[in-house]
Amino acid sequence: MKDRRKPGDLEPRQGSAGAEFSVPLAQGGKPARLVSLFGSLSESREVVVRYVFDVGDPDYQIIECRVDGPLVSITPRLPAAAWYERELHDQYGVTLSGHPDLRPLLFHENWPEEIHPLLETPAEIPWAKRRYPFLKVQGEGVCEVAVGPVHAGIIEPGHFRFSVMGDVVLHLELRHFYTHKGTEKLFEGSPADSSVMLAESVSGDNCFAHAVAYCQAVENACAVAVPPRAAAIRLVGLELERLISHIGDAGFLANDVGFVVAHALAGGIKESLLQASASCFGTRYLRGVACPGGVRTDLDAKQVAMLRDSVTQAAREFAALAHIILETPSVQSRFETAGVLYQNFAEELAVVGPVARACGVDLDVRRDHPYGHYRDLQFEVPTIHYGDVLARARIRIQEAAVSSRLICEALGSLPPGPTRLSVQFEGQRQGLSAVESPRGELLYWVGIENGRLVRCHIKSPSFQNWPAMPFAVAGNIIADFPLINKSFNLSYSGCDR
Amino acid sequence: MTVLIGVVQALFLVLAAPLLKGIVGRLKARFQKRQGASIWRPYSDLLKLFRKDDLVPPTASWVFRAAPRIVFAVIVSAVAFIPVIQSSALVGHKGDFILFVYLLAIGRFFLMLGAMDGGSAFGGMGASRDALVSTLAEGPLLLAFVAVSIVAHSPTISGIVQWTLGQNFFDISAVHILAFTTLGIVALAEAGRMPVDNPATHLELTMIHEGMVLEFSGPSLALIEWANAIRLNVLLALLIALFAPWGMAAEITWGGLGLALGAYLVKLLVLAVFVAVIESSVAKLRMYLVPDFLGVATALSILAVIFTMIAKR
Repeated sequence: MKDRRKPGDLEPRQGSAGAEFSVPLAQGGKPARLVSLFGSLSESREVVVRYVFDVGDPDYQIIECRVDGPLVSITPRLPAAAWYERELHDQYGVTLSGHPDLRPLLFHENWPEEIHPLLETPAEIPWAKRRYPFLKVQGEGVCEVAVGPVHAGIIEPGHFRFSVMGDVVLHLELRHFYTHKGTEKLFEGSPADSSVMLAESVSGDNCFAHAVAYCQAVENACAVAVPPRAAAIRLVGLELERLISHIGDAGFLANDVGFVVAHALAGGIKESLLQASASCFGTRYLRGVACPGGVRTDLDAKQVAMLRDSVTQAAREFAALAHIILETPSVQSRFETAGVLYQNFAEELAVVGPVARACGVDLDVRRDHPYGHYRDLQFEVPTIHYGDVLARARIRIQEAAVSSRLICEALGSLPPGPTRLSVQFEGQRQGLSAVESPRGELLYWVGIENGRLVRCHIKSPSFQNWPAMPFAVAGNIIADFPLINKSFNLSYSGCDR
Repeated sequence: MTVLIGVVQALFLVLAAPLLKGIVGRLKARFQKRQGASIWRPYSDLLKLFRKDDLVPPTASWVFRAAPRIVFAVIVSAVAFIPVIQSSALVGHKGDFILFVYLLAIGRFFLMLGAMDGGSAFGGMGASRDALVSTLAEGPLLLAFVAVSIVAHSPTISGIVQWTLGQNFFDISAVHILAFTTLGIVALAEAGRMPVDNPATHLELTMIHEGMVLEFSGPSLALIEWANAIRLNVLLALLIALFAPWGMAAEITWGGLGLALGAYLVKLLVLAVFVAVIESSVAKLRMYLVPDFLGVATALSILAVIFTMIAKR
């Protein structure tokens, strides 16, 4: 076992010492938070696995491992790695010794077992018939309820396998990746300066966060600093996206408990922001705004004033609406104590974003790993420790207020100057970048060779948070599941990629 | 002539039911600052469904096809017991309110059977929840009827209405207030409205009535939807008849009937606004709080019966 794991090129750390891969420690002696884990191919077509950790420093720590033979799984020690290692197994065919569950994750029963798309490009993919065993919960009175992937409403596809005793959920198993589009494969070989379109299409409602994360990764790889005006406009876009997303979420949470008036009003506020975005940036969801080297759209003084007014008004209206939602007793009765995610579960599964902050995990990329214009601004990061649906609703409402203040502050002191630099791509480059998307930490890692991408890894917050959701659902009644699911508000497309 | 008007008022309850649904929907849309669909929309929905194919799951038996027809037939027969514009109904006999309660129950029973016969998990889930709600709603519904019937010294719905017509509105007793509240709660639960069930939801795991009808399509779905609209209309008509019948035509003249119809429509509109306000201002109850909600109705109905002995009215 000793030689199966080799030290990385970047970090010749203690990881090489023995069969046990020692996880870096964060302050306080706790194991560092796993941020991401992904494979890539070296020039000699060897699989290289990178472990990205957050040890509490502004910079992420990357550990590289060349794979020759089975890799020791870190899942038994870091449960947060479970899905990443399953993904590695699917994409590269890496054998992981000691992994508790190596069923296929990305691919369904029709995908042949021996084809690993990031390892090779097969000329033809035959139709396979595999079996996918679900976990069986046994006992008297235990029933299985299968929901999805086709739902009664117009939502994304995902399969949920509940084991219930009466109305109480004992266990929930997820089967996702119905919208797996092979985005990481599509990035391979595409030009680095125009692939931002691909990043934008990963998750529709967070498309600006994806675009900025991608652009920053490319810029970091090429050691380009974007002009201050572009950085400020990106911040405005990111916070506007968060504001729109959180307002929409608050409305949908109200809708899921049948409090339809609040949903309609939230929809109205959200629409006013989308229209403001359309008249300032020429796009409702900020598509095509970010590009490597800066932004494509500049704002003139009139647009700045207009956007500030819209955001201020929307924030005021939303604060009033949020008060109505949170102070209605029948809504409180539904939100309180529903779907509690405990802090230790959230930490073990490295949950990120508003979901983590709602159960007392104090994480925010904007503050902990500052990027762009966030380095120059002061802002608070709210946390709540209850971890129920109400906490997740309240955290979004508080963050919306912070976002609107940040937008106004950034627009008030928009630095002058150009908005775009040209980026030169020469030789071999690698870059990493993380962004706090409305759903949490979003990380892009790119490898570029002569202007073309050889690898682009996307760590989406939804991929990280989905495995934690069943722990919040267990013990609740099945009729509360849609509400709990909505309070997590995870993207299927972003998770499946 | 009385029989003819009885037929007309029964037909009115059946045919105007989708309009009531449309009005409540329009009011709710207005509360949400939306334009809302036309109040005639439920009719075009029904027309559309009647023109479509009736798809039956391959695993289903004859029960699946029979259930919607029985549900519709039963609710249409229940309509005949309710006075609307004159104080006597089309049919009436001693203890007819018990028959009325159990006609509603038969409808629900067959809908549950049909839902379970469809074979989907949501049909079964909806049916089991509906069984819970209807079991808990049956007691208070019956007790409220009994209380009002004791006060009016009459074992028939028409008799109760005629007695109430002779009373002064400002002379209403505690029994009536309690029974009215009971029947109001039961009506919301029986018709599958908020806060017990959300008729507008798309979340299959939270559904009660909508979960049961998921597998039905075409004419079968149309009959169920129509029956459900009639159910709400009948329950509201019952509330009006038992607790606010004033304005009903005592003698049969054109003027009297016109006045009765006008008064009835105004009262119905008030109740429709009330339903829309409730649906817009509260969130749906957690599933395990539904028994508590109906428990309140049960307690009120028991109090109503006890008060009949104390108040002697």
